[in-house]
Amino acid sequence: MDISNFLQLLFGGLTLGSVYALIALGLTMILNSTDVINVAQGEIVMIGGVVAVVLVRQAGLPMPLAIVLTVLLAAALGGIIYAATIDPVKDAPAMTLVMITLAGSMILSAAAGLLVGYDPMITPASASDQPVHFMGAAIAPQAIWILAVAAASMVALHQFYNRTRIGQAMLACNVDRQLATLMGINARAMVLGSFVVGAGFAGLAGALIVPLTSVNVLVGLTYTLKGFAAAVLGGLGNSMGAVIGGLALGMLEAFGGGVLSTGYRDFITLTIILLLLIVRPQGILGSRL
Amino acid sequence: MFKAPLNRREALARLAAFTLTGTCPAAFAQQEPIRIGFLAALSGPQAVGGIKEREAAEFGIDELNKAGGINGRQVKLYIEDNQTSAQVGLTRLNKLIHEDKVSLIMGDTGSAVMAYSPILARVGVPFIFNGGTLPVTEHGNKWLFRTVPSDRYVTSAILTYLRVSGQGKRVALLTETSAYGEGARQLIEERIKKGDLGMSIVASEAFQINDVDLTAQVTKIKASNPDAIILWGASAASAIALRNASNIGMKVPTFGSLAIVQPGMLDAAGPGREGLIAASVGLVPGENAANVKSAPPILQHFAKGFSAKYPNREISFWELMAYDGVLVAADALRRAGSDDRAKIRDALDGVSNLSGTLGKYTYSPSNRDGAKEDSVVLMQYRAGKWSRLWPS
Repeated sequence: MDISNFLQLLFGGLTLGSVYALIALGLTMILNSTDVINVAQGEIVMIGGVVAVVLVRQAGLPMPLAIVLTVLLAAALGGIIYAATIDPVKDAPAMTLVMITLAGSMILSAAAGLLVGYDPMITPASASDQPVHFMGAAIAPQAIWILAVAAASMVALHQFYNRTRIGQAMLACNVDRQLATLMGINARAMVLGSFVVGAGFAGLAGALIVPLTSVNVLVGLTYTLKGFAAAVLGGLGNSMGAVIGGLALGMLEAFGGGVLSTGYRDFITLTIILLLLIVRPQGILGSRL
Repeated sequence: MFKAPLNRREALARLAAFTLTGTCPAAFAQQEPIRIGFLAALSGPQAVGGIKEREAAEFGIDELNKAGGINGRQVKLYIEDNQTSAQVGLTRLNKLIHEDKVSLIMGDTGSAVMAYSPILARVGVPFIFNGGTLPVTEHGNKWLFRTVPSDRYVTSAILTYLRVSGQGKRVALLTETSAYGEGARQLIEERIKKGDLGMSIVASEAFQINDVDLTAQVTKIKASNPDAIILWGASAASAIALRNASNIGMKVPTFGSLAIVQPGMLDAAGPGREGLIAASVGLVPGENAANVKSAPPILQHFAKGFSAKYPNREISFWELMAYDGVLVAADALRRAGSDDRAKIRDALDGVSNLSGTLGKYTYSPSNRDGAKEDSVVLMQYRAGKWSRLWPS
């Protein structure tokens, strides 16, 4: 493989990987606070993409503003999902809660289908879409955008957890909810917060990726599965692991497909993940097992 | 529970017919109508095409009934929606067969009919379907009849064009991992391996229906330095392939299947759609049949009548294949002279040189392909519209 193809695959892998990382981060936050894998996470990614397209196309907003509004809307949606479905039955077994989120994902997908239809949607092309050439590889400007925004939001999340009182309180709830409650932390509000922030990340992922790949209302489950695979690979429950797992999954897909066989891309990727997990069941950074 | 609304709908239809004509239509009084089923996606992702099919089928049946029906009997169309799901389609299929007791069924795409195939063979119901997916008619089911040219003829038309225009000696394939994409890949590989076209396949890459990024595939294809790319898929991933290819600066002509012409697809393909060559059948989208010299008289006839009923509507291959389905069914029903499904199947096998909007139809027990390579049109997308490329 020559250097230009290598760089092409590297950038493709990094771009997709950072989107997977954002999804995995959101899943991890919700998992830590509720012990539930939120199956509807991928649908929020899809809705993020759809909302971004509608805001840019119909409302004529500039892309950066559309992204900010999309994230706020997705965060609100996450809060509503928590308040309407998880909060009323939160003492139910984790499996019941997972089924609830699965039902939620179907409802979101069907509702989106009724509202905007099933055709692929995409933000309009702009003059700044011209790819940048770098050592023979063509890199879409959005890819650079995605990398920058994803990196910035991960740093912001890290700062939030470690430097703010609310962040510390959320971490405390993740470690031990009862003890945190005894310390005067409103655990319920913190769980709500994790849904809000987690959904915000999913919405961000959707809005960032849509100019590159388009979105259709059936794509949600794919994103849930990718985000889940990334979270498991990095170490379920570990935020830094989610980021590393996401990037690793993106790279595996790009090079597994690009070097070996694109037809067997998912087969190759999942086999490598399986082998890694046999050697290291807790994932790359995990410690919860 | 589920029957009540349908009965009400039927009752309303009869009431409407009664009030409009002021009398009970003669057919109700004299003879039972011939029952024909229509099954397609009327809601869900594929509804755009399914609804067009339904309109053309209803138009054809109306025309038939106005001309006196078949052997003096009116034809009644029973319409069902598979909601773009083969599972739902199976329940609707059973309703058409057992409750509505239809004599034959029309509509639906290749992949849905694949799911219906065992039931159709077991119960014995003729099905005239509108899908190009090749494997459907390769399993020896004696009850399936195809209207549109199968992918054998569509891929062959593309290869013929590549040979005649001298544009492509080194061909790269990019196909979806579905019956549709895999079927086409095998056909193209078999055809090129015969050697008489003087072409070679320099890359053969695949993608999944839900893929959101195909940079790896197009990067590999670019590295193989092809003259032309043949892209075969029916999902949004095909549009992403075009976009990714143009992003990495791919300049060679890309040939797409009929499915790439779906709404939203070209939008999603972005700058990658410019110069795309796609296969269509009968007409190019936006084309007026009256201006196409090669259009057969029956196509002109249909276009005129259908445009009168639906003004300002583009006629696409969806309408044409559904209308052809009615023509084929009517021809067979006339000769069968019976509601017996087996007799109708035999009569369908006797369809010979029948003129349809897409071409001539001839079926036999060993040939269930409808229109052939001569109904395939290649068209090119430039500056926002399709134009006819071949044959001119």
